[in-house]
Amino acid sequence: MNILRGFTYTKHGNMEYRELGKGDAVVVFLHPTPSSSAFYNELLPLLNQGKRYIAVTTMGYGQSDRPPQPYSTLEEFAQAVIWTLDELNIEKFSLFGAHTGSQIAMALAAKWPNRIEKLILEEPFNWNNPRRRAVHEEIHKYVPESSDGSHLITLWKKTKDFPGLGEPPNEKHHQQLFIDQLISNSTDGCEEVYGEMGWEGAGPFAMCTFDTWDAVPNITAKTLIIHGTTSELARSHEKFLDLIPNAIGIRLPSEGNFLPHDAPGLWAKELNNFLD
Amino acid sequence: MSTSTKSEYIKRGFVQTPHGNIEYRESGPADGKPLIMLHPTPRSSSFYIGAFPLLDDEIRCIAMSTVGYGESDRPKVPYTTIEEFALSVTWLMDGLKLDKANVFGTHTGAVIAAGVGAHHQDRVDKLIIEECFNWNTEARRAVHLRIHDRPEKEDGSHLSEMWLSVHQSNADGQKSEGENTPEAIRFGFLDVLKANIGSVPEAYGGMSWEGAGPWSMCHYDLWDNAANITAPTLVIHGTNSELGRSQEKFLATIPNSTGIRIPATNRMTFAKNPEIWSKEIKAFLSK
Repeated sequence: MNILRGFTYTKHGNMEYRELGKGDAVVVFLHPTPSSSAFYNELLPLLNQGKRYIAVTTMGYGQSDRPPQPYSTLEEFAQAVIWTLDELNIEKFSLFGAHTGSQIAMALAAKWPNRIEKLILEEPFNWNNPRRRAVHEEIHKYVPESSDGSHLITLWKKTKDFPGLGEPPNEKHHQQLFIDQLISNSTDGCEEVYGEMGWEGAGPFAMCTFDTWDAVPNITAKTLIIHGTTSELARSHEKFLDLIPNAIGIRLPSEGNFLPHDAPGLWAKELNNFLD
Repeated sequence: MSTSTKSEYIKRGFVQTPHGNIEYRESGPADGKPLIMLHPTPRSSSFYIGAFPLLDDEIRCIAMSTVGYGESDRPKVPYTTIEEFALSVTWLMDGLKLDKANVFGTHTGAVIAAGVGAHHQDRVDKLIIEECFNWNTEARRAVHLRIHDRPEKEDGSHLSEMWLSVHQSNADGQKSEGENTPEAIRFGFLDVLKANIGSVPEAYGGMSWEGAGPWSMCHYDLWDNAANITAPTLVIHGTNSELGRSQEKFLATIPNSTGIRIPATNRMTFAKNPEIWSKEIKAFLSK
């Protein structure tokens, strides 16, 4: 089955999505930084048939437009996702987010609890302090364009060893990641907000100023928290389980942070179990 | 804030076809007469971002990304004929519920546009072909085999080579100032990159997927087919374009055609001479 592609037309521009499957139950997917809904190209076909799976590209990334003013809060990113689902006439949905996507997902589920059936957060964390923000400022640093194109080789290598994304499992994944990173490698009109991170840093900037522990108690949906067995973010695993009223947790075998591409079969099995 | 916001930015979209998703960009009045715009190789609909403001005050501009280019899906079986590309243009029209439209194409897009005019006469109101040429000879095929060959290298140096090819003016002075803005270069590079990723198909004599359009136009019997075009047709070449030597033959072959030569350093594209380009296209379409 082919992945269908589309755009919604929001107040802040075109928003890209990819869609697979049919059914009354809808599951929405939010991606890590700096990828796009293409992150899920090879993952969605692994999930059980009978549901409608929609991967949304975060505003400002991939083929989604940059908003007229740089977003500085996770609520703005979440609002754009809500606009897209409104336009698709989807009232209730389950929501999966990985890494930055999990931060946007928790902000969305905390602010619009009535819209969420089930919630899955993969590698969520509280990034809200200056030291943690400094980590992201280092990872997501803008690489200035050079007339000889050497910045492309820097970015090409960077995507091959992207921290937190593990080894690219295949060429396709790496090439797509390179394209998506290239798209967000720009400081045009956002330097005042994101500094040297440029547009790539939009999501990370917002999640590093988000009060995670204040927000997550407002989540009412049944929630699954996933961390890798060796993920350093997992030190907050228990705290998420304590603060989210209806949450369960699993730890999946990993080297560092867990990513679906590291163990796609296992990832799909756990999602299918929780969603069914 | 205004409630009607859809016209405040270029609208993007996909239509779903038998060969996957086809990408388009749209600008202009929704109730305006539609103009389908087909781009050169190896670009995509993003080629026309700078052209929309020249037309979209009165024309509904719909730029299509050729199948296999930009964000349009690659077909499962590589296309090798202009007929396949022309048919896919009618699929875009089907998806947008357009029985008929005006069709514009430049360079490779011009040959595809001519194909739409020749093979789907009932779908075309008026046709504009810019820098159209008969590439169907051995020597001309060799030119394209050379241009569209960009092998991937382990150290990533193919990327800087692609960048330079987009960044620098071509040796023959093809690039205009308008095509060399930082944003135009970024869009141009992304298109070249997308057309070249992945393994090289066997269909194109060693060219990557980038070669799909060129291969097809270099094996298309343009003169035989152009004679079947029934739509009123405008044939555009730059005053100094070496392809302009065929303009008279187009005018003699296409029954209902007129021709113009627009002042340009070399081959004509909208960015070379925006004002005259805009004026001529609007005049032809409003006749």
